[in-house]
Amino acid sequence: MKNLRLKAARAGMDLSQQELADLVGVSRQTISAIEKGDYNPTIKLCVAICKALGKTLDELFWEP
Amino acid sequence: MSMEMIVWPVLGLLLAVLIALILRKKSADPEYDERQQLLRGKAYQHAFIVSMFYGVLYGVLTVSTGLHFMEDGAAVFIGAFLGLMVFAVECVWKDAFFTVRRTPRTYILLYAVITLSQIIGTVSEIRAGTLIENGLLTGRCLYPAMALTFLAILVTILIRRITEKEEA
Repeated sequence: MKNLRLKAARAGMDLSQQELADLVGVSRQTISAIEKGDYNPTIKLCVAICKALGKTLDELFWEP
Repeated sequence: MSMEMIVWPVLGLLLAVLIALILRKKSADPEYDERQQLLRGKAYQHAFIVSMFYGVLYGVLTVSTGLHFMEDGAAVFIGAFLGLMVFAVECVWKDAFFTVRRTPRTYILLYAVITLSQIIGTVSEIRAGTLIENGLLTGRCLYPAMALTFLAILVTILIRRITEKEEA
């Protein structure tokens, strides 16, 4: 399932996929895969992404 | 088989391993992210299965038909490079071949040089008539095997770069 909230949060901070990937320490393709819903990140990666974007897990990854 | 035929290749292999260990320590640890590690694990599995299938198929064919169409060395090389090709092509296609920090540009050039050198080697073996002897594919099929493997990897890298640019 696509993660549009992540994409919106990234765009809101004016970050490219590569820039977010660099902040988090993963490849650009991994960020792309998460946004497309092709990959489910571990909790560790979810937390790292949330920290980079200044959001909570609920806001980015948990189903409402 | 003379001692020279064993000693030099073994020494060469040990030297290659030593150089690889030294270079590995000097460079930053190769870092694959969690998605890449997962995909690489699956690629290893697929490569293993393909190599095993090849081995069984080769064994069954030679035992059931009694026909030998390649030397034992050739059979081993082909099986090894088949596994390597499957692993590398799958990793490249799923963006799990290069680490987070590495860019493919250097590797494109390196693989192009390797492919070209192996093609040259293949052509010279064919001209010398040593690729096939007495109707059997010889161990010198290492050249075309390496050429095909690295060509497949190179082509996959180039296609992936084009598709990535289109996605971006």
